[in-house]
This record gives sequence, C-alpha cells and structure tokens, in this order.
Amino acid sequence: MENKIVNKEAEVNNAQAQLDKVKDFSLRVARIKDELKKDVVGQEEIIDNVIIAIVAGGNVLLEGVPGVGKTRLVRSLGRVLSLPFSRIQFTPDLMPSDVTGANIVEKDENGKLVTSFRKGPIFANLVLADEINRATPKTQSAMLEVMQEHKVTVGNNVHKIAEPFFVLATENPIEQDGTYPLPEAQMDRFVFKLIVKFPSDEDLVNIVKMTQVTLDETASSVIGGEEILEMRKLASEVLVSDEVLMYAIKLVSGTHPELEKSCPSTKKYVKYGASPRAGQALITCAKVKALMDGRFNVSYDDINELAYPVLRHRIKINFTAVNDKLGVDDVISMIIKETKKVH
Amino acid sequence: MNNFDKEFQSVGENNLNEVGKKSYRGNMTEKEIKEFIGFAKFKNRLFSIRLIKTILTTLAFAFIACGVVLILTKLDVWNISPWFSLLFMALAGAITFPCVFLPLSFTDKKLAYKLDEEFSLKEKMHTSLANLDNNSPMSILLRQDLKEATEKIEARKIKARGLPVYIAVAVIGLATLITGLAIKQEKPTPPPPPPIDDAGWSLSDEQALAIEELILAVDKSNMVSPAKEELVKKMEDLLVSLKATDDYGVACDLVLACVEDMDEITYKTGSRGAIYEAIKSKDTEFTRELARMLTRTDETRYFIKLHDALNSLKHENEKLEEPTAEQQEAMKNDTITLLSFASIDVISALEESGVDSSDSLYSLLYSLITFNKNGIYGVGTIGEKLGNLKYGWASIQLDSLKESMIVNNIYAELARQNENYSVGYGASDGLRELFDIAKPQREDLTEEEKGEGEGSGAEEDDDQSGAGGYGPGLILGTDELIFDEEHKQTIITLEIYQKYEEIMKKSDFTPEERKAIEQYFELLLKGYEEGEEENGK
Repeated sequence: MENKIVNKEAEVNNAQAQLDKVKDFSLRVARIKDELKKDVVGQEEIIDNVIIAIVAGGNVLLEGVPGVGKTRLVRSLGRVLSLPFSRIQFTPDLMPSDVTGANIVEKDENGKLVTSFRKGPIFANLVLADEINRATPKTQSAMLEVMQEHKVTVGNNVHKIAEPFFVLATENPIEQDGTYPLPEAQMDRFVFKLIVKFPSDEDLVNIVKMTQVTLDETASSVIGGEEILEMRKLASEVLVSDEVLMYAIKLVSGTHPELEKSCPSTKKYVKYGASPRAGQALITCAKVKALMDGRFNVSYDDINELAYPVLRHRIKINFTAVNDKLGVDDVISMIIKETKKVH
Repeated sequence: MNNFDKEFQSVGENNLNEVGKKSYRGNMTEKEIKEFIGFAKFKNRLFSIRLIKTILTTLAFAFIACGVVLILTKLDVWNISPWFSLLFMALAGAITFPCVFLPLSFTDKKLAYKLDEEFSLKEKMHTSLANLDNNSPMSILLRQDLKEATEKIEARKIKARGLPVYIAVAVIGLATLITGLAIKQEKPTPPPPPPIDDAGWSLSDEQALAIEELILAVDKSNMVSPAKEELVKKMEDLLVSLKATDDYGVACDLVLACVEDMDEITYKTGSRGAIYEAIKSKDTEFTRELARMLTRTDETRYFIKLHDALNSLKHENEKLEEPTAEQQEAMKNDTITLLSFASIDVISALEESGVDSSDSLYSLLYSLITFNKNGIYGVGTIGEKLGNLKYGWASIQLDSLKESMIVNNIYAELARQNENYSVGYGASDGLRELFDIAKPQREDLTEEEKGEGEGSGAEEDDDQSGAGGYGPGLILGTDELIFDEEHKQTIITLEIYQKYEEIMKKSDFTPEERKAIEQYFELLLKGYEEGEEENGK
C-alpha cells in the first residue's frame, strides 16, 4: 500500500515535470518568432507555419516570386535554430552526388588507396534547397530518401542524417523556362507548401529600411535540436478526439475523385487526390498548432486552417478548374465546405 | 506573451492544483470531472429547457383537447358531458409528455458538440468528455483550461431554440381552452310556437258553443231588466260578428269592446258599488263596520259597535248613585254626540255617493240610520231614551232595529244586486277567458258571489265568524242571519245550508226530487225579494 502511494506521488511529480515542458514550449516558440522577426518583415502566417513544420518534423516547400524573402527566412531560421545549416543552390547541372555526397578514392595514412564517403550538403539538420525546381528530376529524386527517411544510401552504405532534419525548399512559380516541376512523390514529402505572398506596402517600407542598415541576417540562435525534439514529443501528446481525427481523414479522402464519398467539387475539379501522408501531416501539424495557440486539443479549425498548406501541393486540379479560373486553394475551400463535421 | 502563455500561466505558477493532482491520481470520478469542467451546469440548464418545452407542449395539447371537447359538447356537436373534457385533457397530457420529452433527450456527446459550437470552445468540451479516463498531463491541462473557459459563461446563455414556437403553441392551446370555457352551452330550444295566423283565424265550434251557453245563462238568470236583455243582445251581436271575421286580432278587439260594455251595464244594475265606495271613503269606526255590512252582509259589527258604545256610557252612568242634573245633562250630550258620530258620516256618505235617493238600497240604508218609521232622527230618539237613563230600553230598540224588516230588506236588496253583478261580470269574465283577455281588477264586492263552491270566509272578519257563501247566485254568508218567511223570524243561514248540503249529499234523490229541493231554496230566496217589496209598499 505504501509503495502504491509513493508511486502515485511519483506520477504526480512526473506530471509536474511535463507541465513545465508545456510551459517551456510556448516560451520557445515565442523566442523563435522574436528572432525571426529581426530578419523577416511580415509574413506572420508563413513564419508560424514554418515553425509548425519544424516542430512537427516536416519539410517545407516555399513558393513565391523572387525577392519576397523565402531564402532569407530559411537562412535566418538556420541561425535561430543553432543547428548545422547547409544550402544547396539547385541548378540544372547539379548532380545527385552533389547533394548526397559520394564515395571518393583517396590515400589513407599508410598511403594506400581507399574509398571513403564524402558527405554532401544534405548532411545537415537544416537544409535550404534553393530553387529546387531548377534541378533535373534525376537530382531532385536524390532528395526523396533523405527527405522521407532521413538517411542517404550510397553504394551499399546507408548514412543516417542527424535529427532533427528538415529540408526547406524554395521555388519560383513564374519562371518556367529551364525548370523541372517536382515529381508528385517528392511533392508528397513536403509537409507544407507555403505561398509566400508579396509583402504589403507597410511591410515593404520596413523591409527597405531594414536592408539599408545591413543585408546580413542578425537573428541569433535561441533553440537547439534537442529542444526541438522535446517540443515535437510534447506536441504529439496533444489530444485529438476521434471525431476531429475522422474529420481530417474525411477531408483527405474527400480529395479523391475516384471515391464515391468524395465531395462534388472534387469530382468536378480534382484530377487526383492527396496521399495518406496528408492525413498524417494534418493531424501532426494540427497538434503543434493547437499547442502554439495555447490549447491542449485539436479543433476543427486547426484542421481547416492547415488543410491549405497540407493539401495544395498534394492534389492536382483538372482542366475544368483551370477553365473555371479556380486555383487549388479555391477547390480546397470548396472541399472544406462540403465536408461535414463528424458529430 | 501569446495565448498559450496567458492560458498556461496560472497552471505553471500554481503547478498542479488540488483538482489536478486529484485528477491525475485517478481519484476524481467522472461526475466530479463533469462538474469541474462546467459540463454539469450546462446539462442541467439544457434539461430544464427540455422540461419547459415538454411542459409547454403538454399543456398546449391538453388545453387544445380540453377546449375542443368543450366546444364540441357545448355546441351539441358531441353529445357528452362537458366534464369529459377533463378526461381528454388528462389523456392528451399523458400521451404528449413522453412523446415530446423523449425525442428531446440528448446525450452528453451531443451536448458537448452543442456547447463547443455555441460558445466557440474549439472542441475542448467534447475532447475533454472523450478523455474522461485519460489522466495525462495534457488531459488535465485541457480540463483546467476548459474550466476557466466555462466559468466565464453563464449557463443561461444556452439559447432555448424554438422556445417561442413552444410558447406560441401553448398560447394557442390556452386560447382554445378559454374559448371552450367561454362558449355558453346552447340549451335545447323549445320548438317555436306556431305562428298566429291572424288572417286564417275562425271562431271554433267550441268557442261558439261556449258563448251561446253564456248567453243562455244570462237569459235564464234573475238579473234585473233591461240589463239582462242588453247583455244578451250584446253577446248575440258579438257572436254574429265573431263568426263573420277571420282575423284573430279583430276578434279580440270585438270581444274586448263587448266585455267593457257589458261591465258597464252590469255596474249600473245596482247602487251597492257606489254606496260602498262612498261609505268606505269616510273611514271611521262606524262607517268601516257599515261598509263591511255591504260587502259581507254582516250587520253584526255595526250594531256591536253601537252596543259597546252605549254600554260604555251606561256603565259610566251606573257609577253615579244619584247623578246631579248637570251630570245627567252631560251624559245625555255625550250619548247624542256618540250616536251622531255613528250616523252623520253614513248619511253624508250616502248623499255623496251620487246614488239617487229613490234607490232601494239608498233608502233602506237611510231608514236604518234614521229610524224611518216615525221619521224621527234616530239619534235623537235613542238619545232621548238615554237621556232618561233608560239604557236598557235603548238596547232593546237597537235589537229590534237589527231584527227589523229594514235590515232584512237591505239583505234582500244586496242579494238581488249581487246576483246581477254575478251574472253580468260572470258572463264578461267568461268571454275574457275564452279569448285569453286579462280580467280587470274590481272592488271585492262579489267575494261571496263566486258561483258554486265554498267561500273562503271573511278575510277581514276579525272574529272569524263569516264562513263564506254557497251555491249559484247565493250571496249570503253562511253565518249570517236569514229571514225565515214561514216562521217570520231570522235564523242562521249556516244551519239551513248545512242541512241542505247534508241532505243533498246523503240522500239518493231522483232528478225530480233534487230539482224540487233546489226550487225550494230558490223560493226561499224569492221570499226575501217579496219581503223587500212589501217593505217598499
């Protein structure tokens, strides 16, 4: 009996410790945001979503016209996170080995020729894949394994990537010449596709003023990899009711026009729907978002808000939608409206 | 500081509160958790709303059932007692309550969704309810967070959706009930009376026969001429006119005119009415007694009054052993005053009655008062005797007067006049009855002239001596004196008629014998009239 009581008290203490972590979560998020704002003006939603993706452990594809701060944001994030950061500027002549690294022949201490693996820029915790669509599909495909499984296989050797690992890629939606659209499999590996919009006049003024002083990023490191992993673990404990979970699944399955239960808009405008990874991403990121909003459960609104960045690169709209001048986000809005909440 | 910081601050600073610790240890029951997160108060509120809606609907249907049944019964559409409406009200209520209460039931899950939506709780409530048995730190934090959120929300903020509709239905029900109560039950209406078809009226055979019988009765009566002939003529003319008309209104008018004429003719057959009115108007103790004499042929009270007055003086006189001349003179004057008082008003009334002094009743009454035989003023004659202190003689004089022919002749004259009244008024009243015309109010001169049957007795007779009259045309009170022609003396009428009744009841007379007896009594009555005539001579 006495042991039981002691155990109970120990559980209480553990709970208290976890509660302390919950408290730290918000403090860390606040710190990351504060630092990022030093280098990035505006783009609040983008910043939030990038943080969500990082905590959730997902890769992010940033799409936007040149000069809106995509690369700067990622570079600044690399500074803030105090993690090994590398940048890969994707070009048409970039080879997969340029990304993953390669086995090279070299002499050892005894002067004998031996093969050794030289790590490519992908071996970092935070990788900026700048203008990723400029590389050939061959090189792009080299990213598939590392983005999903966080490891690199070269020859017979498998090289694990240190956690946490994120790829933040950028692409330009208007310059289509000399670019290679990302294959669907790779797109699916990005948890979010974020559209970086042109800043408002007010933000633009601040951007100009800020760059008059220095073009360098000034953000400092405030959080390490361990802490991010702790935050991810904590976020995974956020409660999701079965109904909200079911709603997220319905939303994803509702994007498949081949399914009977899909939404009317899907049947009309969608060519093919999102993969199951979308459902995983929705719930995982919704948990982080809930916690960032100071809640301990996932709501329908969390799912709805995250449906855009999660689904927009995972579904393909058909010619009818284009003909009707509808974008992906418009179709997603329709799907959200047509998907009934589970009660 | 973001939202999370704000929300979490209290938890972080206070660490796990007692509820949290208790919850974490698994010592908190589901009920306690529901109360803790504020779910219970909303549930109670929603239960109240559900109950109110159910009660309103139940009342509405019960009222409607009751009201409709009341309306149907009161309008005679449904022929049952209105009290059955209470039964229907109870039945409707008993059926409606479960039919409404059960469908309005809700599960905790449904209520949780409702609360989440209505108060934008971001699915906290239903997530928390789904994790009642989950005591993880996140679950505890969720409860804590939810508690703080629901504390700011009053339970009454849960909108009772559709309540106005329920209230409207209840009002309709109430209105139906009030209508049902307000409607007056229609009593079964009697069939409308058959319309009087004035134009299609005709004198029936029965009416014609009745009028003919009235004419015959008047014709055969001993009514004085020419009044009798006039009445007969009037009625015969009426009969002819009625047979000639086919309008009921005209017929009634004819009858009314005829009976008024007949009443006037009848009134003129005797002076008794006018004299009675005049004497009665004087209203002294002696005139009152004399008026009674005219209505009830009761002379007793008048003479008793005189006797009493004289005896009073006599006794006063007897107290004096040897009255002086002055005392005797005073007593004489008192007596004269008394007798004058008893006579003067009567004489004055006779003179004021408007009746001719040659009228039989007038002259007889005048003689009664004035001792007409010797033409001496009655008062003086009696007063002289009294003046000589011969009261005994005076009393004897009064008695002889009472028994004299004058009184008897007055009785005979009254009987004759009353018969006229009885015949005349009887005929006109008979006509009135035939045509449903109200009888006029007459002075009760013919109280004992009701034809056959017993009189009710003298209502104003203080000593209850008058017992009424008997037989057709008989007008005398049964306790009155009647002059026996054969023995030349007065006897009590009652004795004669009692014997007459007994004989008529007990004996088995043949029709001839019965007729003979009746004739005897008619002769007896005739004797009065003859006596009167002799007096007149």
